[in-house]
Amino acid sequence: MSTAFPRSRAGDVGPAASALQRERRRRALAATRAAAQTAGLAVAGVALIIGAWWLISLGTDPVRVPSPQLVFDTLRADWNNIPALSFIAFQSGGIKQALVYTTVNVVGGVAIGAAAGFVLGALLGRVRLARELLGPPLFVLGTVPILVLAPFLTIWFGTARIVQAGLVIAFALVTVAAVTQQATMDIGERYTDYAQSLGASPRIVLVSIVLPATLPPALGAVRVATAAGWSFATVAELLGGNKGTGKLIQSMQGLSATADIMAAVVALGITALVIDAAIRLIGTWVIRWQE
Amino acid sequence: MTRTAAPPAIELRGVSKHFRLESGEQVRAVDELSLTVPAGEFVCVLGPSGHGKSTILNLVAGFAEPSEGEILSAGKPVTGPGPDRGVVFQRDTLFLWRRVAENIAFGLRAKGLPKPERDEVVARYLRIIGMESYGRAWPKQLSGGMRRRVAIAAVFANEPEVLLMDEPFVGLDYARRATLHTVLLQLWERSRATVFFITHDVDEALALADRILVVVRGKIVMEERITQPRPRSVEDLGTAAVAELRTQILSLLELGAGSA
Repeated sequence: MSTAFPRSRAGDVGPAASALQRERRRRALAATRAAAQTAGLAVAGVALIIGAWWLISLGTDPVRVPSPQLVFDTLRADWNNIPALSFIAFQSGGIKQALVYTTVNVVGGVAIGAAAGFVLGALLGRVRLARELLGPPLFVLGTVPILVLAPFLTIWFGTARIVQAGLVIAFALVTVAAVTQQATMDIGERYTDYAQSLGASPRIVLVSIVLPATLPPALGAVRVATAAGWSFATVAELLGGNKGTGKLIQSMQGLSATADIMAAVVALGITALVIDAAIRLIGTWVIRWQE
Repeated sequence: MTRTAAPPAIELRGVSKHFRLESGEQVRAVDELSLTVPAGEFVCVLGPSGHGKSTILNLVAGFAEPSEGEILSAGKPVTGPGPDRGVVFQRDTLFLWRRVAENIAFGLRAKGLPKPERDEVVARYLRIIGMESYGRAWPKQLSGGMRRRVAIAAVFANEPEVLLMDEPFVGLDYARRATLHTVLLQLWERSRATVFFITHDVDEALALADRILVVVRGKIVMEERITQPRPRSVEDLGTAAVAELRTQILSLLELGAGSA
């Protein structure tokens, strides 16, 4: 007896491999077209803003509104070193060093907060005791503005990096935990029932079913936390730090160096965009299975 | 020396299941049901919607506990889900984040089967369902019929003693159903597992079953054995005797639906 199922009767099989390849090519082409269109529109949007900025700067004092050209020249000149900074802020280097300090705080803070939030959210979603015990305090923490933590962190840790990164960690943890908890609770029982009927232990259910199923919403929360993380890190530097882009902006404000402030903001914005694109790209790959 | 007969694959002894509605009213979904399914039998269960078919399946699967009575699987009380009772749901439950081959291998991996043996089993089942080239495909890349085939293969690959199927082919057209019937029978003949198959389609039950049960308001109201050998052709299902049986079943279903 032949065990192979006859292809001629399998209406939806077709020439399997080539059909898959054709489908992949078609999707890749459509994705490239969509990406090109999006990129074109984004470039047009940026050009529009720079054009408006340039027009405004034409009739305005450069100390109030420096032209785009002046800001880009300043960015280049002060990228590695701003001598005045060492006297005012006791901080050496230029825009690059400040930017690296802030970026490390944001990326590191989000990584630590999101990892902890993912595990905590899955635990809250799966274990009723944990939900009843930790749910209410986390809910309260979620309703309190994160910036309220800044004075406490400053009292406890002074001007250490943990003060600036701490706000980012706290926000990422609360955001990712809340989203992951909800996503965990939303997983249909049919998935876990099915896995158990195939002999999966609770550990396998958690690792192989619950965690992958909650990845798409959790990755969305990571992007939100990263976007907000730039604000938290910069504001924390303004409030009590002695390094970073926020501190640099505050110091330049004292010198009325508007071009430097705008150069730092532009550099921060570009870095944030690049990191968001990287997270999106990695996220798209990680959840490439999503329908 | 006397030889002890093998226990039935499934046995329900006076099983009832009650649910309390939000209004406070208590509903008896399964009503003092007793049933014995010998090992290797293919049983099809018909009945109007909401009359307890899926509840019976969930009880046997161990997803729910009976309010009264006892359920045994191969002579042992059912206390929860287990790999001895594989389940194919109405909506496919393929893990979207696992490729086709990984879906089929899921139960084997949970059992701790080494990878080379796992790969061998997966390759065999992919061949049987006619999807050798799709091992690395994601479920999202498959059609509805292909997904059902993978779901069935994943359960059979785990070699359960009992296969519980809750309207697994609902929503598919006639041709795809016929294809899947062939796949199912082929897999069943190789494994000789006991199949408990819920359907709304009388012709599907007539084509597949050793025994047809009609459940109305949580009770078995009709039980009919089909002795015609498989595979059953359209001609086989067009005889006067089969037509009469179909009419009887349809009348019961109509009466049952009206009484709900």
